Amino acid sequence: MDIVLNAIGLVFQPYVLLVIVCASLFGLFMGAIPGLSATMATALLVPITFFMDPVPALGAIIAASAMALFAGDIPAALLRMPGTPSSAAYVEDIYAMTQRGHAERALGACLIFSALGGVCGTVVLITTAPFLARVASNFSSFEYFWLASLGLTCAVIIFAEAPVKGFISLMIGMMLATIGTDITTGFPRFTFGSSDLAAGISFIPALIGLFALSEIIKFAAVNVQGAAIPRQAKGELFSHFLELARMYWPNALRGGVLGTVIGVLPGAGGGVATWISYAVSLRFKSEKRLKRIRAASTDDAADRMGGVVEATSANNASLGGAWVPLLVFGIPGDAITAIVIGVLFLQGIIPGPRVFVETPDLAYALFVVFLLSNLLLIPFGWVAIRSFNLIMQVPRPALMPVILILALVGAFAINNAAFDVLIMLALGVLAYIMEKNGFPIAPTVLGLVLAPIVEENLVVSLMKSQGNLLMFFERPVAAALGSIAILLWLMPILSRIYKALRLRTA
Amino acid sequence: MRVNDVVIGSILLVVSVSAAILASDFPSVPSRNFGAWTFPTVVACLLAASSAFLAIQGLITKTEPRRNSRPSRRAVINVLLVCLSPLFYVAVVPLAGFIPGVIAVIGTITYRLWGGMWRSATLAIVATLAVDMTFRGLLGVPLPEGLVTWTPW
Repeated sequence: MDIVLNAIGLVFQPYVLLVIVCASLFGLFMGAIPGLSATMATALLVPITFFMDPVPALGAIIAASAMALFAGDIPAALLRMPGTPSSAAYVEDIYAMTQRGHAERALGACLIFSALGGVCGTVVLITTAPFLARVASNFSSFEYFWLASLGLTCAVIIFAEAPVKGFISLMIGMMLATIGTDITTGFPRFTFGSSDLAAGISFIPALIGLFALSEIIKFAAVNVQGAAIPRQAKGELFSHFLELARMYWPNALRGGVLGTVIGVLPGAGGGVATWISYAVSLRFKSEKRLKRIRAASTDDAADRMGGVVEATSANNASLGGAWVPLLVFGIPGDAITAIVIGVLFLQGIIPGPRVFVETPDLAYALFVVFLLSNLLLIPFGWVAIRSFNLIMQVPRPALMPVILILALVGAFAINNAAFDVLIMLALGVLAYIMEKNGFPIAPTVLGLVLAPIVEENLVVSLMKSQGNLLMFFERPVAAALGSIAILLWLMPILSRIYKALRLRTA
Repeated sequence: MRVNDVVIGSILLVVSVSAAILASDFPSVPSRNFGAWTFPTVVACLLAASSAFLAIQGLITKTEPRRNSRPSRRAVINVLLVCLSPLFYVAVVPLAGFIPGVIAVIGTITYRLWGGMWRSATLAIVATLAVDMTFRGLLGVPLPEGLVTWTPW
C-alpha cells in the first residue's frame, strides 16, 4: 500500500502534472493532423524527455501516445483522413456518419469507448504485470532468447499481406543493429574505421529519421493541401452515450479484451488491434441483436456503430497491453514501446522484472499515469473535438518545416553529436524509399531493438551450453517458447504442404 | 521513388552478401566456435535469402508499369531541400549560429511548400525563437551559437 501511495505522490506533483498536460495537448495535436502518427509524436518527445526525471519523462510519453491514438479519429470522421494508422479500420463508418450530420455522435462514441478501452488495458497491465514479473525473475538467457525470437517472429507475421517485405524490413533493422563494437570480443563491426560508428547506430536519431523525417520527405514530394471541413450538427457529443453503452457494451468489452491481448503480443500494436477487432465485430455480429438495436436506435447508423465501438476500444486498450511485455520482460510490444525502451535506457533504467524490485515506485507511478491519461482523455478529447476547426486551420505546409527543425534539434540534442543528425538523415531517406515500395517500417524498428537482446542472450546461452544447442530446450519454459517459435517459423511451409495435400485428395 | 522488386531484391542481395563476406573476418570468442561473426552472418544470410526470393518473385509476377509516376521538378527540388537541411544544419549552423541558420532552413522550406515571402519569413522567425526558447532556454540544450551569441532567455 505504501508503494501505491508513494507512486500517487510521485505523479500528483505540479511539475509532473504540467508535463502530462502539455504532452497530452501535444499528442492530441499530432494525432489530429493526418499523416502524423502517435509513434511520430512519441519519437519527437524523446529528446525533450531526456532532460526530465523518469516519472515525468515516461508520463509524457504515455499521455501523448494515448491522446494521439484517439485524436486520429477526429480527421478520420471529418475529412475521411485517418490521423493515425490505427483509425484507418473504421474511417469509412465514422465518415459516413459525418456525411449524415452525426460527426459529434461518432466522435463522442470514439472518445468514450477509447477511454474505456484504455482503462481496460490499464487494469490488465496493473493486475498481470507484477505477477508475470515474479515469474520472469526466474527466466535465464535461454528463455529471453526465445522470447525475443518470438517477438521478431510476430513482427513478420503481423504483416501478413507482405510477409517477405516485412521479413526483409526486420532483417534490415537487425543488420543495422549489428553495426558497432561487439559485446563479447570488443571487435568493431561494420564501422569502416569510423569512431562515430563504434558506439553503433544511435537509437533515438534513428527513430526520428524513420518516423518523422520520412514523413516530411513524403509530404515534400506530394504536398497535399487540407480538404474543406463539413458542417455538423451540435450538441450530440455525449448525449447518446447511455444509449450507445446499453446497445454496444458487448462490443466495447470484446474490443477492450481483444485489444489488450493483441497489444501484449510482441510486434503487434494499435493498428493491428483495431483491424482485428473490427473484423471480429463484423464476423460475429448477431442478426437478432442488430434487429433489436435497429428498433431501439434513433438514427440509421446503428449497423456501423458496433464495429466503431469495438475497434476504438481495442485501439486504446492495446497501449496498456503493449506495456506488459515491456515492463515484465524488457521486450517491446509495438513501435511506441520500442521507443520507450530507448527512453528507459537513457534514464538509466533497465526494463525487465527487476523494475518491480529495484524501482517499484516507478512501476506503480506508471500505472497511475496510465489511469490518469485515460481519464484525462475525456475532457481533453472534448476540447480537441470542439477546437478541431482551429487545429485543421494550421496548414500542413507550414507545420512540416517546424517539425523538421524539431527533428534536427532532437536528433542532435541526445549526444550533442552532428553524426547523429546524419544517421537521422540516412534512416529517414531509407524509410521513405522503403515505404514507397511497400516495406513496412515497424519491423525495422523492432529489429533495431530486439537484435541486441537476441544476440546477447544467444551468446550467453552458447557460452553456458558450450555450443550444445539442445540446452536451449532443456528448461520447460524455454522448451515451450522455443517450440512455439519454431512452429511459427515452419508455419508457411506446413500450410503449403497441407494445401497441396488437400488439393491432391480433392 | 518506386522501384521494381527485382532491382530492390538484387541491391539487397549484393549488400547482404558483402556483409556476410565482411563478417567472416570478424573474430571468434577464444576457444569457442562462435563470436563476433556469428550473429551478423546469420542475419546477412537470412537477408540474402529473402532478397533473392523477392527478386525472383518480382521476375515471376510481372506488374503493369505505372503511368504518370514520374515526380514533378518541383517535388524533386522540395525533397532535395528537405534532405539537404540536415547537412546544412551540421555544416553551416555551427558557424552561422542556431537562430540565423534555422531561420534560413525554415524560411526556405516554408516558402517552397507553402509560398508567400512574408508569411514564410514570419513563420521562420517565430518558430525559430520558439524552438530556441524551448531547447536552450527551458531544457538547457547547448545549441550552436556561431556568429549570434545573443538570445533573449
